[in-house]
Amino acid sequence: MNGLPDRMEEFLAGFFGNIKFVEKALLGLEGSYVELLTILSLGLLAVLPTIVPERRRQTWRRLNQIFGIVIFIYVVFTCLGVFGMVRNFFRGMNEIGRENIIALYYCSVPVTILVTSMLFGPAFCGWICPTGALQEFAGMLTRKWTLRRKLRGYPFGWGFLLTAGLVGVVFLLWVWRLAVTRTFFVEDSTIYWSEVLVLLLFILAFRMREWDLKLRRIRILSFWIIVLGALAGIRITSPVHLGFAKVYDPASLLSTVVVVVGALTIPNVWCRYLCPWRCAISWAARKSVRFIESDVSKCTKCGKCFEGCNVDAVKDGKINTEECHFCMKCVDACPTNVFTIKDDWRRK
Amino acid sequence: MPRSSARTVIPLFILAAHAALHAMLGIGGWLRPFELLSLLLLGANLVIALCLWKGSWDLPSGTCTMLLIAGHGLIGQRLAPDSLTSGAMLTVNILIVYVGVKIYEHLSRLHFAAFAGSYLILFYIFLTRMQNAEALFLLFLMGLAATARDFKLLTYFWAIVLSFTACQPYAWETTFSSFLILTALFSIRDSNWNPASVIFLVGGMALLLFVLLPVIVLMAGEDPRNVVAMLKSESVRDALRLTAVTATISTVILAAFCVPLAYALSRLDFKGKSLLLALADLPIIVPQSAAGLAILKVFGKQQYLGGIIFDAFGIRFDGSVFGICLAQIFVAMPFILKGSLAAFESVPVALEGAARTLGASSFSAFKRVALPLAMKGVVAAAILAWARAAGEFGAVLFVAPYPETAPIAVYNLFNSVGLVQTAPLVTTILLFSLAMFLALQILVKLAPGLTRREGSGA
Amino acid sequence: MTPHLHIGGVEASFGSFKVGPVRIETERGEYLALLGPTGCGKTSLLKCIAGLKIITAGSIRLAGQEISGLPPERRGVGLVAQTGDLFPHRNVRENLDFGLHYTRLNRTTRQARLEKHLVMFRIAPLAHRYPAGLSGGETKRVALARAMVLEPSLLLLDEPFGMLDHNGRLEMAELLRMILRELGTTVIHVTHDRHEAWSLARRCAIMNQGRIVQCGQVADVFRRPADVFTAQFLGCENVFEASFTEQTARCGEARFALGYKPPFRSGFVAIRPERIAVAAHGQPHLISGRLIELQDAGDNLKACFDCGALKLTARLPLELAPRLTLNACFNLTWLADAVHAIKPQGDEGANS
Ligand code: SF4
Ligand code: SF4
Repeated sequence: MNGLPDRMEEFLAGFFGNIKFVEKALLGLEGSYVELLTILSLGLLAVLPTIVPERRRQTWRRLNQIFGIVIFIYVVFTCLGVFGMVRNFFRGMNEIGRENIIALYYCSVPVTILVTSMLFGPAFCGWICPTGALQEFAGMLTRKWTLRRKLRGYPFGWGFLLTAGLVGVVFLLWVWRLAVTRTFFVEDSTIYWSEVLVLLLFILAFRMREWDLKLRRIRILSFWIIVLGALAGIRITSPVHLGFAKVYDPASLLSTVVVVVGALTIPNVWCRYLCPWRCAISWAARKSVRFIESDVSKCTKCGKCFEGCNVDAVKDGKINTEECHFCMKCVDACPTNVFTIKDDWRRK
Repeated sequence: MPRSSARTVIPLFILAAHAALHAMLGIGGWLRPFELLSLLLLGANLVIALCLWKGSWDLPSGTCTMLLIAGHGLIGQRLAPDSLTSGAMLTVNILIVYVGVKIYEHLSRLHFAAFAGSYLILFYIFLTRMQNAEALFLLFLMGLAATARDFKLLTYFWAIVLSFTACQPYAWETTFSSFLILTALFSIRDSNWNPASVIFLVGGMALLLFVLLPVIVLMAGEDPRNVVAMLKSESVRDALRLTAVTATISTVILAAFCVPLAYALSRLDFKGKSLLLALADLPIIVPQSAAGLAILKVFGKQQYLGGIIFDAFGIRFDGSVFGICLAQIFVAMPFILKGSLAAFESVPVALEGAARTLGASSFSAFKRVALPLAMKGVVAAAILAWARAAGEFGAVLFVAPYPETAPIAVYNLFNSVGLVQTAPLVTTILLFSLAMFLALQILVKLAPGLTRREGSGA
Repeated sequence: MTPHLHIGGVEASFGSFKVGPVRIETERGEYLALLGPTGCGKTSLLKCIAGLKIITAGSIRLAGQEISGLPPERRGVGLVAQTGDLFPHRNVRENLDFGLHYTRLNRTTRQARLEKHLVMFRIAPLAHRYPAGLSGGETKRVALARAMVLEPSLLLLDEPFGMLDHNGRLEMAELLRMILRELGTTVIHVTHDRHEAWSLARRCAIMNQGRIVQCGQVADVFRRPADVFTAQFLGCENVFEASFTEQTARCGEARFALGYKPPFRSGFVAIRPERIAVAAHGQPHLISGRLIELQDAGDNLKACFDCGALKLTARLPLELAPRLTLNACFNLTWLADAVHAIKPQGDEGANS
């Protein structure tokens, strides 16, 4: 009975062992001021949304996202994805006054993201974040189907439930297998989070519309768990981390798979319900200088903005700023120009 | 048109000067003329000049940016250790200039002065007073850029900067406490603002933080690994488990009796009610050691009530889990009683009347109207009682020094090995209690049925 | 036919304040207004009927069954309190459902009844809102619906128009009329505002200091108040001590025809102010007086005349305003049935 899973794992290990390019890239940059490049590139990326031509904005955004993935894999490996970012931020702050370069090394990514969010809105999520981008690209495959479901208010369907169940079972089996064949990091909460995700899928399969906004509060919980974990020095990996890790990390791979599968069924599922970093970003961007102003009186309730939005943050011209990723799809989609992007330096 | 001529002349002039200087300095050997980044910067200036000329970039910030880029291309490129550093510096500088110009344009002079002053002070602190702090300078400049447009944010920013520069090694503690104070101060409603109470507030909070300082320092200063090691030790786990279990049992017993009692007290008026309420406060007044002795005197194995119970049921109180619970119940009772009493008193009797005319029996009215409405207060009181029970030391020490609960474990360890070795245990216990406390609070916040009061409909 | 609700000799005490003995009877489907000044014990009486207060004497019979011994939940009496008393932790729908929980109806009937009442009381759009977010009128409507969804045979309303603006009142009045018309519920409507009572009720009872002082058809009570308090409470500003001989009343020098012979020799006369008219010069008149005060009271003019020993207040039509000059003398007149003789105070009986 060990045949298939074993072979699969061997394959995966080999697969990830063989793409050494990541490691080489890191080696190449080691010792230089990687973190400075971070600031440079992230800064540029964050400004980009505001200066790209309006006509082909979404194309530019896709490009930016791809660029974001590359940057994160090659350069920003220090941030270990969204979980590690919180932890390393803490670590970096602790180095202030002792090892200033290390402090910059760890803090540059989160600080840049928070600062640009406070000024230019939560554009990181919509334009740069590799996890977000991964989900969005995955979601494109099932776009038609998810859109149909969304327009019908995510109705209950046996097929959906069955698939979710299947994924859940496969996932749990895998976890079980990993648990018996190797020693995990016990505290590796990636497993935990992915499990939560699977459970979520189940819940959502039943009553998406009613539960949606409430479930999004889980993000707050996840944020605090990560922060407390960081304070206690617990080691945490997160989805998409596998790309940058120097070793084959089954937990990260696992959660990446779950996130992608999740994103196939519900667009940006990770961002909606679980991303801890999203908490910080939406907090920072709450009173950002740049924001999308909507003139609801112009709205004809055509539903185009709602259709486009990956995180269901907009309905009939009203944007929920807590959720908005600043992808500006709604701005581009609106036929009556309800939305305008505005700068207000006095915004309080 | 004067404006369009400025839009042609200024960019053109800067661009020309940049290019000319670039060539001259390159020939003069100051910089390498064909280095990639320098050329890129020259190109960037060309692009910006075009933007300015076409009118798609506003003149002030565009001009400043051009000057900055030119400066970086000509001087910074040579000074910085490598082109990456130079590039990062340039990014941050552009951000700063952009924000500066915007603040100058859109906000008051005072804002601009605060911004510029902050910049200079940061410069002074990081580059002249600290060693190798260029990296930090960059980091904090970004923070400044994000916060300069609002005095409140700027104050928070400075609280962080000062904590991490002047108040090392207590940076986190200072940040934490100053944030608390600042948040409290900033969120005072304007209408109630008056100097006297604000000064009282600051003074009071200073004392409070002073009192809490040992706890904070202890917790923040402990190496997490020691805590984890502590958590792995069997005896500590046992003590913690015992504490949690006994406190929970006590709270459940208390809730079962005191919540209905509180309801009755809030609804009924009878002679001796105020006496009863005063008596309920007794456990707070009586010293805990005295309470412990008193309990022992009555419930001890050889004493009469304890003797009877022991004979009848085989339950002994001294030195057993029952004794621990008994002591905890004794000390925690006033908290849950008073808390739930206040909660029930805030529920209008008329609502129960309405419930009864709608067909509810008095029990049902309690269950479906009074209890849900008072639930928030009741749960808060129960949490407080739980915390009190878990932290009880004096009474428990007398009644049941063994099995060890967490507070007693600390005491015993301290007696045997002294302060230094006890610290990790104390931190562990503090963290444990704090975590439990927070978890309970969060649970209450998250559980929708419990707190759905004055419902925020949407 | 026995009355639907019979309240006989009910007494209750609240500390030093005593209510009763009170006697009221209403027919099935009747709308009775219980009028009285603030603090006269109206609300307490309602609570006694609903069972929220214990009565010390007397009996309350509803549809022939004695209910004064029953706990409130088994009386089948609906009560709508002044503030509505909605449950803040339940939304509108759940508020309505609260009482249905105790009826042994099956789920579908319950649902149907709920929906029906949500629509009937025009609160369907509010079904998922919480009381904190409702306006005054909406709160009242929900409270009414919550009581009516149980289809009680007796509904007690405590100041249903209190704290409502004009539109709210109109809407509420319409709902109440509908209840009266379509559901045939017996209603006791407590209020201190006589206009409000008359817009809905055909019968009314006047309450003062814990007792019912008069009970009868609205027109009767209005025209023939039983005592000085009632007269004044119903807006009759002209009440004078008088002695009676045959069909005439004498107060000081003035004499008025009464139109009937009162059964007592001395007492009071009440003259309805809106029945007083200014007679043209040369027309026959009853009394003349000097205009000493003129006030625009919105839909009428309040004019005070000094007629020697008497100070008469008249409510005159607005069109008269140009003719009325202060300190001028006017001739006043009224028909005989505007005058009503009132028995002397402290004399019990003669209640209708
Ligand atoms: S919500 Fe989280 S995962 Fe999603 S885009 Fe934002 S930071 Fe990335
Ligand atoms: S609200 Fe608009 S800008 Fe925000 S995430 Fe949705 S589509 Fe993008």
